[in-house]
Amino acid sequence: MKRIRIQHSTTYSYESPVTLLPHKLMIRPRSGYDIQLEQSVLKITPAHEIKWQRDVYGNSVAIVSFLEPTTELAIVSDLVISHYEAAPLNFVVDEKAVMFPFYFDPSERVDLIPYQTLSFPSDSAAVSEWLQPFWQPGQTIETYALLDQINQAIVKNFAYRMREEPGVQRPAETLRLKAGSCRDFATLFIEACRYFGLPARFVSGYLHCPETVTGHGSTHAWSEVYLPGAGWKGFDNTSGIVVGEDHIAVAVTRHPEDAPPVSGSYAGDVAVPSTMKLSVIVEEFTGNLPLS
Amino acid sequence: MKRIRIHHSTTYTYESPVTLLPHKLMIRPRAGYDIHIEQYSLNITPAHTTKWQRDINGNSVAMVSFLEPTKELAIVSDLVIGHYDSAPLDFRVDEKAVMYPFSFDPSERIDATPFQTPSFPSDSARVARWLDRFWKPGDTIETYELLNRINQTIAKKFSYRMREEPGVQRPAATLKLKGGSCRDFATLFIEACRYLGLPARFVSGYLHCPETVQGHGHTHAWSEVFLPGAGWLGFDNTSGNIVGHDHIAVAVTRHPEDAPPISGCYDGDVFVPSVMKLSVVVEEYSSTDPLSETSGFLSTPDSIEPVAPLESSSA
Repeated sequence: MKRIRIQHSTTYSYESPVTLLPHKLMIRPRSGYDIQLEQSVLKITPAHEIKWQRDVYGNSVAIVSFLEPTTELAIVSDLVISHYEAAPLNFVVDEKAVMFPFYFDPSERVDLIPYQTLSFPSDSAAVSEWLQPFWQPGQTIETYALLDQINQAIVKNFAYRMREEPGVQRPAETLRLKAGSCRDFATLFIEACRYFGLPARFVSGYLHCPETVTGHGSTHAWSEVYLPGAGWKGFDNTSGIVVGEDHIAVAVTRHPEDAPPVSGSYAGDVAVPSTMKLSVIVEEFTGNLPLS
Repeated sequence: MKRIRIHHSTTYTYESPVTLLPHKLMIRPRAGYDIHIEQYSLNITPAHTTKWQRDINGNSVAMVSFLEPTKELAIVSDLVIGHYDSAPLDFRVDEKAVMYPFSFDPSERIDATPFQTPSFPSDSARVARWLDRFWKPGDTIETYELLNRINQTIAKKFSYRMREEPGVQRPAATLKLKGGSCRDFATLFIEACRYLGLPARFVSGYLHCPETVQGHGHTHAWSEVFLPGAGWLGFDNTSGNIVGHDHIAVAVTRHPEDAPPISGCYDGDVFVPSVMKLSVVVEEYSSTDPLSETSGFLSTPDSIEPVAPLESSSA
């Protein structure tokens, strides 16, 4: 077990007071057998009210409504989790799904349709061409080997570029540039899996990496693939590893653009100049709980 | 916040030793903004290995493989949760979805499709006839009101019958008998929602009810409906209530037969007679002591989680 503290602070400063419309927060780590939330503190200014809900994917989402105009919006999340996923490679795939291609059981198929549906269908020709070397009709290959080879190809042949803009780069664009951010790599990998009929989805969260390699401020994005028998398995398409106890998933979504930590806008047609300050600290925690 | 302890023990005793095949456990409560698992222990005999996974629907599922033949299989889950969902009616539906009928956004539709697909399509005609009294093409009705009326009708007009057999009763059978178990009522409600195009799914879990009204041993089943703006909302189709801090969800599934707490079998074609003993205790918990000290209960190495304070606050 590994205990990790995550401090995530986002501040928007506006040149003149704005009336904020409701904001949606996806910043609460996904709890379950692998991650236990030990403590979480969420501080928001200005005055507001919060309603929590479970979205269509099961994410714990906060909808924040503001009670007064403001020149500053601050969202500060401070939490400690325990991570138990120390052996992510210790999984067993159903016999029927060990070799690709395989069929899903009829009962699974209905549930999986959303995750087999392309998010960028007009890019499928480019994705298909890129996938030629990995598998061709008539071939049989170990399912995990196929996924790993695609994942390694992205990591080894593509250049990592930090991109601060919201949204993701289209898969065809990532293939053309041979470069992208963690979100862009995950998006390409997901589309590749879906092209092969393997259900895949986007994950946004945090990465714990003492010797920072890539990625800004330790927010991170990766992907999950559904394998019969093993469930949803995480693939980090930036480092090439199977997701373990350094990854803290927050939100899973079908479309890679649906998981921003903070989203919302203000009322009125007039653009109010603003600046955004972001700070994310992800570090191993050895102190005492509760946090003061 | 309300703290609840759940002690769930299942024991199978076989007349002669059996070689157990892997068993699937869906007994870990669904943690999230509403439920925090504060303490957790799972004890299983005989010798075994456990692999956890996240299934299609996001449930934390344990796959247990046994290492030796046995005459007894015992699965004992003992846990304490903090429940924070004390105002379940305090939700807001998107303006576009306040009145029924409405249409989902194109992006929502793909995700909603599995949960709009009937699990019993051959019962559709019967369900449709029954739904006539609630809504007809051309009618406009508040979405929540429509759901509540269907729910109240099942809870008030149908008679509750405990059913120990596994599986669920088909919606057409529940309509004919005007009776069923909590699982059967949830199944009918889900099919009714889906007929109306409202995404719905099955929930299995525990119910905390000091003055026991109905239901055996406090395992329980209900349903969730996805409403734009509000997310998944729980409806208890046995009591007619909206699901709040007496309900502890464990597993959500599209098909009502996919969420048994324990499933698995033994190797071989020879039938071995067996008896099953089930005990479920769901009670408010006021102690802050770790379970192992209050109950003499020891955790197995594959299941322990530390005792830790858990508070979620916003200021």
